[in-house]
Amino acid sequence: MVNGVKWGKYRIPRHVPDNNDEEKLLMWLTEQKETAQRFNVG
Amino acid sequence: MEMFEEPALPILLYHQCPPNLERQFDVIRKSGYKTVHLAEVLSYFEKPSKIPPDYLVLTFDDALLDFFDIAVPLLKHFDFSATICVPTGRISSNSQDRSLDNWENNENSTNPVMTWDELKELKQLVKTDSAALIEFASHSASHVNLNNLADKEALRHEIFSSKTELQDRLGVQDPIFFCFPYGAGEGKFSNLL
Repeated sequence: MVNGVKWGKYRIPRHVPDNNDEEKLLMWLTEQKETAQRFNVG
Repeated sequence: MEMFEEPALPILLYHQCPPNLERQFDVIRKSGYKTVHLAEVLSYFEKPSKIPPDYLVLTFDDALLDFFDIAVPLLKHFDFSATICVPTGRISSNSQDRSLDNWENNENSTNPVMTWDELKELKQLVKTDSAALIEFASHSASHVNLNNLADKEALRHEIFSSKTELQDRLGVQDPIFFCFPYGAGEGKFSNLL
């Protein structure tokens, strides 16, 4: 599920963590960090 | 309206505090993330790919009382910062007159909403580095679905009165962030924000 917060012309999606399973949050955060690190190389 | 290019800033969205909130915070800490306020990433908005990969934002919508009672003690324990999105027209002046979150599309809900005094108390809280613990964002005035409002003046009221109240009642200097009720963020009002 995605919601959004808005600043100027930008809308930033938000992520709703699972209420019962924090392991899903761990997996999502790991994916986010891996993606961010790929974009930040160089 | 543009979305962030990848990678987007990880922003978590909460309403009522989940039963595993402490364990979620523990996962965030162990994953090496640094919680920041939205204002701290303003300078990156034109180049989102440069946002530090360990930045993460915690947001809590609706100013529910369990944020005050449950989330804030945990935020202090973990020394995390958070952003609270406030539907200002639903905030009462005293606890005897406290609102419930039984608004549009949520008629059966009975979660109590914070008062202005409780929000003022949050405004004073700081982290161990003396930075503010809580950032305040607008979440409209009455938590109406903005896409359902036909009248432009009503739209302006929902958007601008909420910002003015955050300034006047809490001393929030520049409440530039707006969180859409129901995530209803596309429509004729985009140019008002």
